[in-house]
Amino acid sequence: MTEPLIAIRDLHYTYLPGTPLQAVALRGASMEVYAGEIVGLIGPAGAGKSTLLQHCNGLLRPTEPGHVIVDGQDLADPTVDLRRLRQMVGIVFQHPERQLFETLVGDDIAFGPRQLGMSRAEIRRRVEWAMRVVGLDFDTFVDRPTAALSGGERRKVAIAGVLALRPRVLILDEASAGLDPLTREEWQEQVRRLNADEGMTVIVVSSDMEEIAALAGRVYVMAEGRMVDEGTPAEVFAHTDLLNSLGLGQPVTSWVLGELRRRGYDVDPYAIRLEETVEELCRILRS
Amino acid sequence: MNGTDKLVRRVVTAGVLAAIAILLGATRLGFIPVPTPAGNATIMHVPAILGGIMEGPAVGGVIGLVFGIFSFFQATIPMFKDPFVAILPRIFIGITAWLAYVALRRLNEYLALVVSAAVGTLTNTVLVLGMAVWRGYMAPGVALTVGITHGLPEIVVAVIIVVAVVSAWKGLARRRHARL
Amino acid sequence: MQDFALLRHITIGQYLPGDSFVHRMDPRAKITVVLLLSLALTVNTSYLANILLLALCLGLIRAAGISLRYVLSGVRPALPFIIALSLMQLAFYGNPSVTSRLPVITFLRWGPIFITSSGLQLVLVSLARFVDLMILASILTNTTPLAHLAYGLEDMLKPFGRLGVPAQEISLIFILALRFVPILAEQLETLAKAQASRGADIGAGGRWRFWRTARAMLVLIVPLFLDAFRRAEELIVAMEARCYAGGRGRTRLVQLRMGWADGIAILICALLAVGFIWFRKSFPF
Repeated sequence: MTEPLIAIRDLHYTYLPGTPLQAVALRGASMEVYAGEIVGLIGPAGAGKSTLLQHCNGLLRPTEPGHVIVDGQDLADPTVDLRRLRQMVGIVFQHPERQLFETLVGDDIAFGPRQLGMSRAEIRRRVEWAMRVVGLDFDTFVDRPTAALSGGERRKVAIAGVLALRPRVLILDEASAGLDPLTREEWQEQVRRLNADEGMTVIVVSSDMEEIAALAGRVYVMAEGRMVDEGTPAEVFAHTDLLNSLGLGQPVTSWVLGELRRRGYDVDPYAIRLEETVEELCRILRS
Repeated sequence: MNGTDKLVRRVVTAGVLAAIAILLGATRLGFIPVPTPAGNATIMHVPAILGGIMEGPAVGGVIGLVFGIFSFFQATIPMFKDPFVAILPRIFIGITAWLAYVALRRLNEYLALVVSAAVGTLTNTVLVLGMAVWRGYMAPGVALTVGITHGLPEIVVAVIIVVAVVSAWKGLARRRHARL
Repeated sequence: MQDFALLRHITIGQYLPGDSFVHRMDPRAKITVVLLLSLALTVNTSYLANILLLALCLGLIRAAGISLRYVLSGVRPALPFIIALSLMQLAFYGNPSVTSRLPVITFLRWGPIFITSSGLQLVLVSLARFVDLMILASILTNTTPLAHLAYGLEDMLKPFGRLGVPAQEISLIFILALRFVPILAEQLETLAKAQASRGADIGAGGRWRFWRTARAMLVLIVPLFLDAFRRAEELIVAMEARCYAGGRGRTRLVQLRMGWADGIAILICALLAVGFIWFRKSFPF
């Protein structure tokens, strides 16, 4: 079996230890992410999802027991090259549109590559590529002032700014929160393409279960600083009691299948992709 | 826009910018290390300059007042425990910045921003040190040295920030094209 | 910048709950007393007046039930600076404008170094004054909730309303500012993390490459201001939708009451302060 690209083992973390503001965030969390996967991470607010993922690019360093190993390198080692690490693992945070600071779109997207000291030609190539991936036309948008963009366009610029570093792992921490349904679909398509065409490994945190079901190949469920469930989306979303006890929903398809099964219909509870569910419904309607 | 709208706008803008002034003072972010004996250049007065430029002298003045009161409460240096040094001079930062801005705006927006940031910063440095001398905390010679070592880097930083923030907010582009 | 969490957890307003006489005083009375006493402090340079004022301040802090050690604990980081400044004053500033009836004795005169008894007096008086001011400031901040301070300030500015000072607006600005600090602090932490993820080197550059350091700050400062402006726009819409029309005639949740004890406290302190100011030239030493 191949080595995981990111391995988190029994990680503990406490914010501001030894102060009145001390808060335990992680209590032995473990997670493995293999190259080329899309992994979903769900859990109630305060479960420690962001804390966990911020360990992956060295924004937080392990201080207590536990290991974070990225591409074979243990991040507890103080000599880790953070610059290289952050180029390899990119994080898009919630409301990324708030992090723009340059006046012109092209300059903001070029910030990351420029920090890495790349050649002008390479920077331009990366900006063109990143803008194409997020669906912004290069010639139309590159010289626009960021102040003149809509909220959705600003968010695309910000995401392109992270993509321009060409990370091997892309972490999306509630990055799609607040998108309208149409944009959301376009967004999911872009994430899928990044994964399929560019081979980018993706970790998605979302409170939108439909998004997790649509994107992830594997899902972790987190609560109170540790993992409480893991499996394919179909498996995880079939654990209705656990999800309800954590106050998490399930995708509509998963709910419909569960409810039909409870009422005695013979449906496959794991057929949670929309097309599969429709197939199942047609099947029982026909019979 | 009627009178009430303007009032609400001014009150809220002043509140938010005053919050940034407090935030800059409470974190290390408000202090930029400089190669002079002063050690650090402060940028806590920048919100007052921006308030003056964007919403006029009253807003700029109030933000300065909040900055002053905050530095009075946070102070660990004797002369800043004196309201005449810590609070009073700060009120004028936003007012002089606004004066400089409206005087030059018609000529050139950039020039107006640069001069107004410099004037606002100078107001802070000169009035605070002037008060310190007048109240007997500092000898005039010491004040002059401090003024130069603190004042110059602070002007540079304030100009950079004011120009960057206002042009990003209003979408004023210095260049037509991105540097690609 | 290693510890991003420090950007978020900042303390402002150090109210320590308590039930002392000083805690129960009306905030307006407290502000008045503190202003009067600070004025008295800054005009007096004689030893005797400063000893008396120091005693008065120590009495007040004892009455408030706050330990002097706590009040002065914030000073420690600035101690080297204070000592250096005092030594400089002492060494080079032998001819200060201290009003004293004591004869001026020159201890040492050697090159630029000029140490006199009046220079020494200035340094000692400055230090005492500093302790007094720390105590007075902490009487305001440690015994009064910030909202009460803001309301007190608003009431005191009201008489200036006729001169065009909008007291209630100023107090609302204070309250808004205090509400926004934690929100913007959290935003700042996220920004720092987001920009670091894009390869920003915040705090790098050091003191000698100051231009670079300043440029590196922009990736945090600019979006912080832009975010604040955007939040302001949202709040403006919300306030207009709720028909906020200025402070006049608005009622408050907290009603301030001035009791007889407040009156007496103001009277005593006012008399003391005026006495100290009036007789500032008459203290024997």
